[in-house]
Amino acid sequence: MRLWARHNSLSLVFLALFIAALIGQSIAGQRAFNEQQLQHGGEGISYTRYLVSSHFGSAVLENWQSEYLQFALFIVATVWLIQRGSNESKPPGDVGRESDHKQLVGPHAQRNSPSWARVEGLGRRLYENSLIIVMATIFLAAWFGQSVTAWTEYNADQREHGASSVSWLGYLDRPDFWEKTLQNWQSEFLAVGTMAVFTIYLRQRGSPESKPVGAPHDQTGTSG
Amino acid sequence: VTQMRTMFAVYVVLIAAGLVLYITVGLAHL
Repeated sequence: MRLWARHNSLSLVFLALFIAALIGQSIAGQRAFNEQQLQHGGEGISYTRYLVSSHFGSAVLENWQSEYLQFALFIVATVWLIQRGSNESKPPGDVGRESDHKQLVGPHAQRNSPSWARVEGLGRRLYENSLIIVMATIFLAAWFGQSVTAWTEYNADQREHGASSVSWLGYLDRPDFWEKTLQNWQSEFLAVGTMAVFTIYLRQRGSPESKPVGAPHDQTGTSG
Repeated sequence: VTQMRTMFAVYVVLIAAGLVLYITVGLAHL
């Protein structure tokens, strides 16, 4: 059991952090929501009701979509774009999808390679891009989820103020939707760019997110 | 291999459950 935990410590710790932060968000979110309800002469809702509310759903999903967009973009951008000296980039000579030999596919697959790396055709094509396909799908689903939950919220607000409701497509055209979306995107893009640039000159000993401490600044893509 | 599969499955199930739940919540008011 202890060995199992150690072998999965990275995913276990982040899973625990995620759950703890989500619980914290839900507790604070319910209180904020109820405060607002009372200020507007409405009634508060229970914690369990809040967990399945559009208010909580849109707050969760607007952050999810931007995180998955960030990684999806980073995964695909680093195939083609480089930053000289960065740990997050591959060397200038490797730009593109790389050779079958280097990618260990088809006849170059090894004994223990995944079976989808061995086959030819659509199966391999899909497997070669499976990470971006899944990350982009999660992004799109979360963004759609954000739009429908925030739309419900928006209309509840409209009704409360005696204004008319809008359709889902109408909501996509409102500044509310784009402000919620872009405020998350801007921070993700800045963070990705920062990682690409900071890892040229800064180091974290022992981290695969950094070059080795003694690696020269102009050395590109060599995790320590 | 089993342990890695377990972690993979936990993350997939968690993400899928969250997405399905809140898309359903959003669409429930249609």
